Amino acid sequence: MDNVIWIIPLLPLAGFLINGLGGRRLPDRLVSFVGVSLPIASFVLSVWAFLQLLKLGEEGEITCTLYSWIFSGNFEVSLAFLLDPLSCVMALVVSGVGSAIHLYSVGYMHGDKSYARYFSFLNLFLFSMLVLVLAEDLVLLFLGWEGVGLCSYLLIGFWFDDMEKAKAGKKAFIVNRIGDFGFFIGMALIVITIGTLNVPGMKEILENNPGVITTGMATAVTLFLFVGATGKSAQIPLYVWLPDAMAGPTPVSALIHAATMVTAGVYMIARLNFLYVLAPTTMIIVALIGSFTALYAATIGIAQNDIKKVLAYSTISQLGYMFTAVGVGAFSAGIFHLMTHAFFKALLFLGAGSVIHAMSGEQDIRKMGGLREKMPVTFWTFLIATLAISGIPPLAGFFSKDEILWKAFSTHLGSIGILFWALGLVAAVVTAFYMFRLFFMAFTGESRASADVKKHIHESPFSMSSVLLLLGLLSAIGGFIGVPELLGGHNTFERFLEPVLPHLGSRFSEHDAHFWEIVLLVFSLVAAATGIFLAYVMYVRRADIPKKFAKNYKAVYGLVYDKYRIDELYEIVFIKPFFALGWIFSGVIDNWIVDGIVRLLTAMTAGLGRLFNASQDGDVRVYGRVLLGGLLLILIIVVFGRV
Amino acid sequence: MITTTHYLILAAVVFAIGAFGVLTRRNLLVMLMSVELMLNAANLTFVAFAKDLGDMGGHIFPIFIMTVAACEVAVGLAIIITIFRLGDTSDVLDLTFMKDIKSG
Amino acid sequence: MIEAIIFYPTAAVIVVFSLMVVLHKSPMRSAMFLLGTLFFMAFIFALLSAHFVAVIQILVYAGGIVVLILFSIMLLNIKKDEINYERISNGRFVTLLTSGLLFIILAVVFLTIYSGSPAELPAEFGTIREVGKLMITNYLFAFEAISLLVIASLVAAVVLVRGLIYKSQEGDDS
Repeated sequence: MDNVIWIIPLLPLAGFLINGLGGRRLPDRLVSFVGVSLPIASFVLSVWAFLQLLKLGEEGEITCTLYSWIFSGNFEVSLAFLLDPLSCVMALVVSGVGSAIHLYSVGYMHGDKSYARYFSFLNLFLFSMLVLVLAEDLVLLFLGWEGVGLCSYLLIGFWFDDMEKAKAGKKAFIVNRIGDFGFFIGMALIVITIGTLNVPGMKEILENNPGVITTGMATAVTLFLFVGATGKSAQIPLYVWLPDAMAGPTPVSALIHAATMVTAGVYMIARLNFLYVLAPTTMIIVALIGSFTALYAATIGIAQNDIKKVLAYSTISQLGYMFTAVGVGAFSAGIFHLMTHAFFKALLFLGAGSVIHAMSGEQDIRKMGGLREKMPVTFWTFLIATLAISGIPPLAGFFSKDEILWKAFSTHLGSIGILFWALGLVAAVVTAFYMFRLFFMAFTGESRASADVKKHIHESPFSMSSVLLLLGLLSAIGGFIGVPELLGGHNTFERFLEPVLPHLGSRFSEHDAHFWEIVLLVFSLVAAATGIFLAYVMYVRRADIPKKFAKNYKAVYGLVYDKYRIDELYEIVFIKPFFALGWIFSGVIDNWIVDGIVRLLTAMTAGLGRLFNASQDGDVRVYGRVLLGGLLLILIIVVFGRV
Repeated sequence: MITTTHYLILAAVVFAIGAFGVLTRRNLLVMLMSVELMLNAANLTFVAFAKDLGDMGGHIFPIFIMTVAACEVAVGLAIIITIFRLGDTSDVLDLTFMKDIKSG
Repeated sequence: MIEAIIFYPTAAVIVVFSLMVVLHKSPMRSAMFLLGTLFFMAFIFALLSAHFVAVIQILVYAGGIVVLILFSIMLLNIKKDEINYERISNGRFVTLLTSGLLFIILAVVFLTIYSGSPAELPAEFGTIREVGKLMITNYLFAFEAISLLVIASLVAAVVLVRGLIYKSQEGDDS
């Protein structure tokens, strides 16, 4: 039974191979069938595995070892998958939301000339992501980590005929790579100190022998791993690739850059929680970067006019929340928000895709509006998602976001948690604001589209709208598995993950905790309401306010609109010097030194050749002299050898 | 007292001179003459040893050598004359037909 | 004693003449010096009781071979200006060294291997009779082979020149 886990990632891999190798010659219907049914099968298998896991009870986990992959001295890596509560949740989310998005893609990518290539890459991505979440060893996890990075590149630059889109793919890959380098150093340090990269093995060693790693070293290791996470999960400073990644097809943005790949960093920290608790300094840094990024990205989002860009910055912001959670030690809260975010962010992106599809490719929200009559399904599901992300109860986002804010405030790390909480709260206001700005501008009011576009507006086909409905449902009720005891729930989610993600306790006593939790709840609700109200006022009632603001505070507006010009800063500080260095290496060193050595060798060989040429110039007397010389040599050896 | 060694040294001198001439002169005929010198030196060696060892074989051999030298000169001169008639030269440096035409 | 009086001057002349053969510019003069060298060589042979060899030397070598070479020189009509090219070529120093080295080695060999007492000579040492006797008995095979060689070289010389004869005949006809 435990030998079946490896089939879960294998199914989409098969899909990749089938569609990748033979897809071009297959009819589109067959490609769709293969590309969608295999992920669904994977999901079904995950559900079955989940049920098996439940049967095993509290400390249950299923391991499936395929074979021993690397062995070098004391260091061993085996190709093994681990199904415990954490990886089970991740597998369900990844394969479930993934399958839904695959289904949506059938309608969205209909008629595209590289239909098969799309599905093969999307399946490859699902394979890599499932390997990542199910891996028992960090090396295998890293394999999946790299794999999703690759697929991200392949899918962002899917329409590579457009140079800009290809460049976006390249940017994503390179920035990711920088992060991966940090991750790799972290792994190397773990090997040096702990000696193994097998997660259960690591845990055991650290439990029995905590002296094997000093706090300083633990801090270093976790920081390096976190660098990798900032790259993969788009936090400061390596987030710059995510907005550009919107160049890819919208379902790709939904799957990879909202629901799954970008969450890999959060998962990694949750998985290695036993290591991170040894380095409180790193945890503070993680939470700080997370909460700051949440606010930072949210502020950029309020000035963007491309519907996908707004959602991109929103993703960065929400990821910041997740990192805040794991940073303060609330690992299950982070995973909870990861799950709910997957639901509503995927929904938002797919809804945006629906709109773009209907508006004949238009992505500027200033040219949208008045979509309620013609696209009811999209309208209502998008509204649900927007309410969810803004943290309005009883939708999913409320429970997860509120949990994070509470855990930040009451973290065992101390009163620095108040800072994290404050940043998160302001970010919540801004989140509600820009999300509803988006909603109001895109869906309500009079249509600002051209007549041509208006004629073609239609609701999406059933393959697409069904997925919207499913995700809408999940966004609405998904939060109920994590209702805290305060509000009468059983906190099922946290309890399910308890064996893997231990509860770290708060800095408050039981009684104080209750009091503060209620206070914070009120704050959260007020924050969300404020944001929505502001958006309503500025974009529905008095639409002149935004314009006046932009005019009067041109400098500030320009700065925010240009995403604080960070890309330009990186260009000057990093990219240009790097290219200059490359120019030095290629122009000077390669041309003069390396080529010079080669030319020197050639000249030497030619010179030597010319030297020897003289011995064969046709003068027979020279030949005779050489003969005589040889004869003399023999004579000397013979005569004087005997003497 | 003239010992066999004196004659042998004389033969060595003439032989060395002949060798020098063959490898140095450009004129084909002079080269041929130098070869004759070398052969002569070899004859002298034979005869000197004949006297020393009392063996007459050392007299027979020079006769053969002289015969062979005569034949060799005959054929060699025929070749030289042919070359001269065809190429109008008797300089050994002009005889480079074995060399690749293209090389410099 | 008498031997010494004859030997040293003759040896000196031989060395000088052979040097002139090798070093002189004009091939004609070189040929003359060669003649001289061979002639004086015959003296040395006689000194060594090789009477028959000495006579044969003068008859065959001096009288035959050198004359043949002289004919060729005259035939080829080497003009004065042709003689004027570089007398000794570039490699002369190296060749000098090499030849010198050759001489030294030979000298060393000769000086060290000399056993001591010369053997007793039989009465008719070096006469025609003795040569004839050996030729017919011990060296018969070599004798016959040599005659074959002479015929072969004769044919070769004729064949080599035959092409030229035809060529000049064609040239004359036109």
